Formats: sequence, structure tokens, C-alpha cells
Amino acid sequence: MKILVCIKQILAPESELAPRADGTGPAPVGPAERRISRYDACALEAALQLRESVGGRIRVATVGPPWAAEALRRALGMGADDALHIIAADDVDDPFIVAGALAPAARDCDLVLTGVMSEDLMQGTVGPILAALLDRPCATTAMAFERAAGGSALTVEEELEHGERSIVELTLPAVVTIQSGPWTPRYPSVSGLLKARRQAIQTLKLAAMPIDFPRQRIVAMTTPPPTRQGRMLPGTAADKAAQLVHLFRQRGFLPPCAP
Amino acid sequence: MNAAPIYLVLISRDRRLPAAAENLAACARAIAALAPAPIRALVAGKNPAAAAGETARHLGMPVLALEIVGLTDPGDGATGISLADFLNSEIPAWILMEDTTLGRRLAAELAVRLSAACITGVEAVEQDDHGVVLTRAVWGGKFRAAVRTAAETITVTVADGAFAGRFEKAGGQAKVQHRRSEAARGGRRHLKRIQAPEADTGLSEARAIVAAGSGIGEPDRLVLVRKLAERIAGAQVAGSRPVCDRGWLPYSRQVGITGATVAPALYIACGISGAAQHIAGMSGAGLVVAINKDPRAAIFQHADIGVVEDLGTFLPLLVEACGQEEDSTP
Ligand SMILES: Cc1cc2nc3c(=O)[nH]c(=O)nc-3n(C[C@H](O)[C@H](O)[C@H](O)COP(=O)(O)OP(=O)(O)OC[C@H]3O[C@@H](n4cnc5c(N)ncnc54)[C@H](O)[C@@H]3O)c2cc1C
Ligand SMILES: Nc1ncnc2c1ncn2[C@@H]1O[C@H](COP(=O)(O)O)[C@@H](O)[C@H]1O
Repeated sequence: MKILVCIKQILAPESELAPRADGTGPAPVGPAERRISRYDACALEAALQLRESVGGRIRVATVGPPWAAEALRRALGMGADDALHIIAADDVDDPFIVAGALAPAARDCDLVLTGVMSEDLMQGTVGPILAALLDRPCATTAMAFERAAGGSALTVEEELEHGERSIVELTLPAVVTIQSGPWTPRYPSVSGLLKARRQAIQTLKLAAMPIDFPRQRIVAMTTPPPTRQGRMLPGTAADKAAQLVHLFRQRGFLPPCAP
Repeated sequence: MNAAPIYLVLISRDRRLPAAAENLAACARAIAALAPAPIRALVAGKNPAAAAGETARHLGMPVLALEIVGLTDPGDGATGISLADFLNSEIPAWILMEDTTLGRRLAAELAVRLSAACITGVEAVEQDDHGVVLTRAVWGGKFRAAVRTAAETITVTVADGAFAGRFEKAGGQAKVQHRRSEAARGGRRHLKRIQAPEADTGLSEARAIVAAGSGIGEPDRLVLVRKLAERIAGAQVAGSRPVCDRGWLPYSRQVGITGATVAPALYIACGISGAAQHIAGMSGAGLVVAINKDPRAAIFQHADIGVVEDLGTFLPLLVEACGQEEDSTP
């Protein structure tokens, strides 16, 4: 089974970020904390487990600036067989360009895995766009999957809303997007990382790829309007704890104090 | 007026009004207010007539019922193919769909089949100097991005409830037109649906909830979260999805779009970033207190009281203070 896992190196959402002055994206407040998008790490883990059970090769691919190669090194360290870096001048936010760039590599794979969404752009579209570009069946938000008997199909358990699930069968080759649930990404081993450092990464230039017109782009980035008043408590940590306790007592969440 | 139409594409699962109908209709109005266009509605499914009738009555407009012959579930591969076949001849400017697992997949598929752009999770429709922009949450809700496209057709999924309260019934005739599609099934076949497990009534009935997010860092810190919950009258412990994924709490304790919807009088979010999928599950809470070390965390936009502190130091102080007699000096 030839598996392609699409991974993205992102500016971690949990790190301290501020909007850039020109509104094009967030900038790190301190040193940039970058890592593989969580769902993509789960997708790679899912691929590694599938390879353990049915054999095959895993290729990882990313579209991004030179620093995105870090994600590929880590993926190789986790156990991917080879890596492809489609080098872009900057972050690419158009999912049609990303999917278009990944399509040639995806075309000769039996299974393409992506994350359910990227943690930065949160679109959830690159996987299904890629599937439609290649005219392949697609399942999204997968919580489990298994190669069906005979090997020509994949059975996928998809998570729907509010705890509902559905089981679908995809004829291979197919595209599946992975939800975080059951897959805990393994840590790369030291020997894996050493090997990954020496391993060659295939590179292509995004600008040289024949891709359909750009369809959409982010033109401004702002802080969302608050839905509640969000009063920030002042003072030291102990002051804040005391203020909370006072409030809890007032509202009856803590027993009133003894007279 | 000959402008290309705005299409509401609703998926029928049963005979009832599709849940997204009002939200999509209100979003369509918001778009039409900026870029005038006729609004049309389509309800697709195996047996969409009843749902289409409900939709027409409820929205006050004519609705097209698109019957997809041989469908076993709206999730089948035939749905996208049938919708694309039909919409291809209509050349809509906008195609609005529900922001669900199915809606996002179909919006992306239709975008490719119709050479359209695709913007998911849209929360607002705005205008700048160059025309209409759609805004959506990025970076876990920390920021909102305004997206523009020059494409002639745009498929959109509208964030659940984003246009709540802005629905107005139109004054049109509740007529239903029927259409049949015998599309090929494609390589995706639905096998079965698994119903949601019983909700944990402990959470839905709790008067207060102390919720742990990834920010608790290690399972040992759950002890502090539990202690806090023990001190607060009627409190239960819950968690965000990553905490449940890691097995630190059972899934029955997960709050959010794929977990429980809760509405306690007090919700204390400990180390939760404030992603839309989590907020959707607790936005009905009374008083929301957020504790997070990142002053820019999105959760503070959805909290009444914000505490910027590290949980490692703050939780022990808070647990301790909750157990003490109140200092009577003002
Ligand atoms: C289809 C789909 C469905 C989903 N359904 C749900 C759902 O039902 N429920 C849900 O919760 N999520 C859901 N998610 C995931 C959601 O998008 C977010 O990823 C998730 O809510 C983030 O959880 P978190 O806030 O605990 O973690 P993170 O986003 O990692 O945030 C951790 C926070 O803790 C803070 N922090 C870190 N260390 C400390 C410290 N020492 N002291 C204080 N603060 C600290 C950080 O600043 C950060 O804000 C879903 C996602 C998808 C794609
Ligand atoms: N620049 C990229 N390079 C490689 N894969 C990507 C890239 N952007 C998105 N993906 C993949 O597509 C998934 C969905 O991303 P998105 O549609 O942006 O939410 C991610 O989880 C990745 O698997």
C-alpha cells in the first residue's frame, strides 16, 4: 500500500501571537513556536499503524516556506519512508493551490491521508478538494479505518455531529481526513531522528508547478469581537484568587462565611 | 434583476425542516444586502418532498426538492455528484451549506466540480473597499480572517448559529418543485449510522462545571481541578476534546460540538484556548470564568471574568482560598 500523508508546519495557536501590523497574519510575540499541526501528526500515526499491519511505504509531503522542512524531518524521524517539500515563498492560504500542488504526488498513491483541518487555517477543505481533483472517493473526520477484505476498499468510521458516527466504504485509491481521537502520535526515536537528518528530502518549487488560478486569499486578520465582557482581574495571583472566591460566595457557589 | 442567484443547499435527513435552514437563509440575506441577488433554496435527499415542503413554508419561499434516486444516506457519494449536475446549469454566485462534516466535504467537492472558491466556517459577511469579504475563525479562534475571492461561484459553509436571531421569513409562495437525479454512486458507499451514546446527565444538569483543557499539561493536575470542583457547590468536572482524546477524562465528560452541550450557572475554563468547537458547547453558561496563561487566548473573548495566570501556581492558590473563611476587610 502506497500512502501519502500531507502535513503542515504551523505557528502554534497556543503560543503567544499578535496580529501583524499589515493584517496579513499573526506574528509570534516571542520566539516563533512552530510544530506539525496536531491532526496531521495523528494522520501520520494512523499511516504508521496501517503500514505495520498491511505493509507498504509512507511518503510525507508539505507545501510551505523553507522552515516547513522541519515537519518533514520530524515525520521521517517518526518513521515515514520518504519526504517531499514543495517550497513556497510564503505561507499559502489558498486550499486550491495547496491541493493542486499535492495532487501529482497523491496521484500515484493508494491512500492519501490529511488532517481533518489545519490548526492554523481550520478550513477542513484541502483533503476533500484533493479527492475531487483526483476524482477519488473521500471520507472525512475519520476515527478509525481498516482495509476491507480483498484489499480494494477501505472501511472508515466517520465522526458526525454530537456523537453520531457513520461507517462508509471507499473504493481505493481514496482520500481520508483524520480526526484526533484514537491516534496518539509517537515520539521520533533518537536513531530515527539521526537517520532523518541524513536522509534526502525531495524538493520542488511551487512557483514552477502548473496550478489552476488562485481562487481565494486572506485579506485581513483581526481579533474577534468579544461575546462577553471579559473583565480581567487585576493584582497578584493571590489577589485574583481572593476576588474569585469573593464572587463565588456572592453568587452562592461557595457557602457563605461563618458570622 | 439578472444577477446570479444565491442558493441555499439543504440536506434532508428526515421529513423535518433541515436544522440549518434559518441560519443559511439569514446569511443569504446578509450577502444579498451587500451584493443584490435572488435567493433560491434546494433540499436534496432520498425522499426530500416533506422536508422541502417544511422548508418552503418556514422560509416563505419556493423550494426545489432534488430527489436522489437510490440514495441510502445523504453521506453517499451520489449526493455531491447530483448536486453538481444540477447546480452546474444554474451557475449560482453563492452556494450556502451547513457547516458540518458532510457540509464541508460537499462544499469542497462542489467547488472543484463547479470551478468555484470554497470558504468554510463563515461567521460574518462584511464589505471593504473592494467588495464582499467573508470572515472566519483561524488559529483556534484567536483571530478572524477576512477572505476574498474573485471566483464567479463561491461555496460556503455557514458556522452553526452565526446568523442566529437574524432570520426573517420571506413573503413568497411556499411552492415545491420536484426534480429527480439518477446520478452514479461514485466510490463512496454508506454502510451504516451509529447513534450517539446517551449523554452524561451529570454534566447537563450540573449547576457548576470546572473544565480542564490541554493547558493543565499533565494528568496529575486534574487532582487540583477535582479539588476545586469539590469545594464549589454542585460542581462537576469536564474537559476539552484533547483532554478526553488523551484519556485523562472519559469522552462522556467532553464539552463541545462533538461532546456535551452544557449550560451551568458557573463554568470555569482552566487552560482552554476557546476554539469555536468548544465554545459551541458552553456558550449558554451563566457566569464564565477563564484561567489561561496567554493574555491573548480566545477564551477571554467568551468569558465574563478573565484570570491570566499559570495553572500550576494559580490552581493551588484558588483551591486553598475556596476552603478558607473570607477575609472580612473590604
Ligand atoms: C470536527 C471537530 C470537532 C471538535 N469538537 C470539539 C469538542 O467537542 N470539544 C472541544 O473541546 N474541542 C473540539 N474540537 C477541537 C477544537 O478545535 C480545539 O482543538 C480544542 O477545543 C482545543 O482544546 P484546548 O483548549 O484544551 O487546547 P489548546 O487549544 O491546546 O489550548 C490550551 C490552552 O491552555 C493554555 N495554557 C497552556 N499551559 C498553561 C498553563 N500552564 N496555565 C494556564 N494556561 C495554560 C494555552 O495558552 C492555551 O490557550 C473539535 C475539532 C474538530 C476539527
Ligand atoms: N501547506 C500544506 N502542506 C501540506 N498539507 C497541507 C497544507 N495545508 C493543509 N494541508 C493538509 O490538509 C489538511 C486540512 O487543512 P485545511 O484545509 O487548511 O484545514 C491538513 O490537516 C493537512 O493534512
